[in-house]
Amino acid sequence: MDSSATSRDGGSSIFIRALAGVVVGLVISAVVLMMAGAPPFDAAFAQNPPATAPATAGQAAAPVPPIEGATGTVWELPVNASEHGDAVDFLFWLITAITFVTFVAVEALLVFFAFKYRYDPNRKAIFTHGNHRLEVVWTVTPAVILFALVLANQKVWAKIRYGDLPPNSTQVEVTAQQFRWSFKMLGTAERFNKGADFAPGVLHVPLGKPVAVSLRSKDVLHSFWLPNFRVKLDAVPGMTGRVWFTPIKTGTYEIACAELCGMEHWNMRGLLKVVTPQEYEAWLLEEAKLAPEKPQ
Amino acid sequence: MSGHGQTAETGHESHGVGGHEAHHELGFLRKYIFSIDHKVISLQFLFTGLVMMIIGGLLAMLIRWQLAWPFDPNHKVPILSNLLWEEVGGTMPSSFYAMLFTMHGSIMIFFVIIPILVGFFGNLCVPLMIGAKDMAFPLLNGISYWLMPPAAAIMVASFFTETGAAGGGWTSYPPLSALGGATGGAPAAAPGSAVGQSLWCISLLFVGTSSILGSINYITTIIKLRAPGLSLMRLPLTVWAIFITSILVLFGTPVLTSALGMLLFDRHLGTNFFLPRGLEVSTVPYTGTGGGQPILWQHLFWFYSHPAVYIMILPTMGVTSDVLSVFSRKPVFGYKPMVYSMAAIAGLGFIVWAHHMFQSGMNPILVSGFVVSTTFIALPSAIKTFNWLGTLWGGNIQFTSAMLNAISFVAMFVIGGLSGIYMASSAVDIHIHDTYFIVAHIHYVLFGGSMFGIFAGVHFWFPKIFGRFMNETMGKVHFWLTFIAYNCTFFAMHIVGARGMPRRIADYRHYEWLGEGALQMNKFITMSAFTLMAIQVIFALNFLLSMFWGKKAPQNPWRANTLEWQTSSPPPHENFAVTPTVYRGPYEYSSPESQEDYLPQTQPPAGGSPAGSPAYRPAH
Repeated sequence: MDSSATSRDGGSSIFIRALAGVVVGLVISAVVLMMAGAPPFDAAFAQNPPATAPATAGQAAAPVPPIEGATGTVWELPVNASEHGDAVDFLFWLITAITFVTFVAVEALLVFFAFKYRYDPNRKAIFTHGNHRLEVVWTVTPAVILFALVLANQKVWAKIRYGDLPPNSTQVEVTAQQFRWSFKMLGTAERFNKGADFAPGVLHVPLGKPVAVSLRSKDVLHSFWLPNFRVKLDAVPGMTGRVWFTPIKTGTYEIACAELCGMEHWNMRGLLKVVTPQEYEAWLLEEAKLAPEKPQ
Repeated sequence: MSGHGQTAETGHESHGVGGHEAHHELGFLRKYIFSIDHKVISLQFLFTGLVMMIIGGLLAMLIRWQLAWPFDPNHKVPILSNLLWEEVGGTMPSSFYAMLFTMHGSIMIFFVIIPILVGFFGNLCVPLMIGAKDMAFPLLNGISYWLMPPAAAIMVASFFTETGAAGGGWTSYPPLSALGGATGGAPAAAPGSAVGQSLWCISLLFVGTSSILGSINYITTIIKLRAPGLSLMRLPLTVWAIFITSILVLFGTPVLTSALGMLLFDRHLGTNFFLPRGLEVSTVPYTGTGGGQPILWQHLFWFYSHPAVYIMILPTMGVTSDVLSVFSRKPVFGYKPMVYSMAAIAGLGFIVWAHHMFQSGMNPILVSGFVVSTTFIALPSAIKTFNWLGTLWGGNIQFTSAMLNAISFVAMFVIGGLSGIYMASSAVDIHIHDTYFIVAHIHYVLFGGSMFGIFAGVHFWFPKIFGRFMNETMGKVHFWLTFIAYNCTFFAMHIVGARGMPRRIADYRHYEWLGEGALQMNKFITMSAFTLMAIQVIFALNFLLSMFWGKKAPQNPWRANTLEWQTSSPPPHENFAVTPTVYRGPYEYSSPESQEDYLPQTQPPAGGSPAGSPAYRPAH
């Protein structure tokens, strides 16, 4: 640093330092008080009253059954109940492994160099403009790793999304609107000789059989998201989206909206129940009683 | 101190640039308000950007308040709750929350990061670092700035409309953003889709125009106004970064402009670019002709907005390279790879946009194409990271505030870049799209990257601008406290995001799949964010106080090589008493050719050695 600087204006420097000291002291005190949970911060960490989300028209008024996907803490991926979920999660962990190693290596080198090469007036820095071979190595190596990731992703993505709705699947039409999900069990009108396909409040599907979803929207963009099935597809007005998955665990799971759709976007939650094939058939018969009769 | 060029030039400099007469005194308005001097304009961009950053930051604090105490009547938002929400029970309405995250993103991107990186650093560094008197088009430069205050005024004014500011996210996807209630018979799809959304579009039309005019100026200036001897491959990386960024701005922004125009037409003139047939809003049918495609907006928007994110990082990559080199007393490692990498980032940046649309309903085969380009755009950034490490290796490192922030840029950008690898995988993206994992990534590259880069650049060039130092102690305290609070705030977002906490959500407690711990983690993030914002007061104080009472700074306090340090602090009118002549590249630190550990670009070689002779003379 230039040591032949003009002489300091002592008065203002002290003023700035004093002010800096006060500000830093305040900030540190605030942080310490916050972490100790002392007033006024103790109120901040008090438990909220139980969640009472404002009632929204359209949500099922029936009590919510226990949710299967609610296990675990925030530190783990959500429970997977889908056949292709393991492949997706494998990719997630593979990328985590690669990025974690890279992260540790780069940050360690950064800190190590910062420490090892700290200023010494008796030493001159190494005068070099680069190293061609190093450039080649650290271009080709990441390129190879990245290419491998492309191939790994393509394998999973093609399996999940290429092609069209699988045959012999439970066919469902899911319609999104502000701010609820509605379902139509396609083919049930014909099968049960009713006036319309069944429109249940909670989507039921049988275990082990692919579910083929035709996805629609009445108003704005929504996104059909099953966190426990690794399924997400935007519901686009004017288009019928097609996505499919095979449930491998029974239970009640949640459907969320993953595209901002207006005021109650956060409250647009549906339920998906995976049941055994026998339970599914029984449920269909129950639904048949509620479905409108065929007009004569 | 060395650094004086030859005086072979005549003493009389032409006043051709901008046709400006140096001899008559300018009035206060022409000198400080409607200036055409790049140095004044750079400060105008900086101050406007910093004021908007306070607004954007306060919006973020409100977002964090809601997420820590969602709809909690025991923790009402101070002041606003009593002012605005008495009738609705004192808690924040969802429509207000939608406005918060929309405007936080919009303001930070368009009114803070882009103006500071391009308007402030571009205007400050480019003419000075290339030895020019000013930009190629000084009046255009002034116009480019003066489009920003009206844009900001419109954006801020939109908060005070009856229905409030835009609430469709900074991405404003139609039909939500197109159904404003003005045409087609259907009501507005949300309060935030009413007039606030139109004002948002108009404001951004001003911002886009400002950007495009600026980019023309930077490109022309860098090509045409370099000092004798300053070949392209002797440019500091900051200038290369601004040059490449300006090409992104020039080619990308007009597409956003078009999209904004189309959206305004859909909203007010009855067109249907983005509106399909058969829509209804709350069972009221939309009676427009329809036939439009919502996904078209996404393509047009992201065709600009993806290059925009590189616009928001490249200048600070250049600044970081310069700061690391100066304070390691070492040349930048791999100068040409660094230049080519930035060009590759920009070029590839134009063919990756649809990775924002992997789950949009777009053809999955097209998705696969974008997976390839997106995965490979990580490569040039990786190359730059390794070269930054190479710059530090073997250096003689001085830990000034500027240097600490620059090293932190590298460290944090690495995290942001690595989290991007998850997003490049379309299958993994099924899980993390529209979650807080994305929000974490955004903030690691924008705050961890660009913001620390801004801190580094401001600390570095402050003495040049004001002829005074910023206080180093305050700078270091600010840095360390910011670093800790920032990581506490944003790293945790990776975790809640990977668990599946969605973004743009006013309350998440009823999402059972989140399992245990989401509320606690959000409270922790909020507390850290409040602390982070409070700590920025230190930087603001340091900046403001040092402007007037900082220790006086000499011409070249950091003993640096580039041209801006070879003129006084602050520089005189027209920057250089005599047009400098350049003899070498910008990073000859610790060169054996010099007894000192630096060797300015303008210092003539000893003994007239041909190795340092100017390789380039512009044809005047």
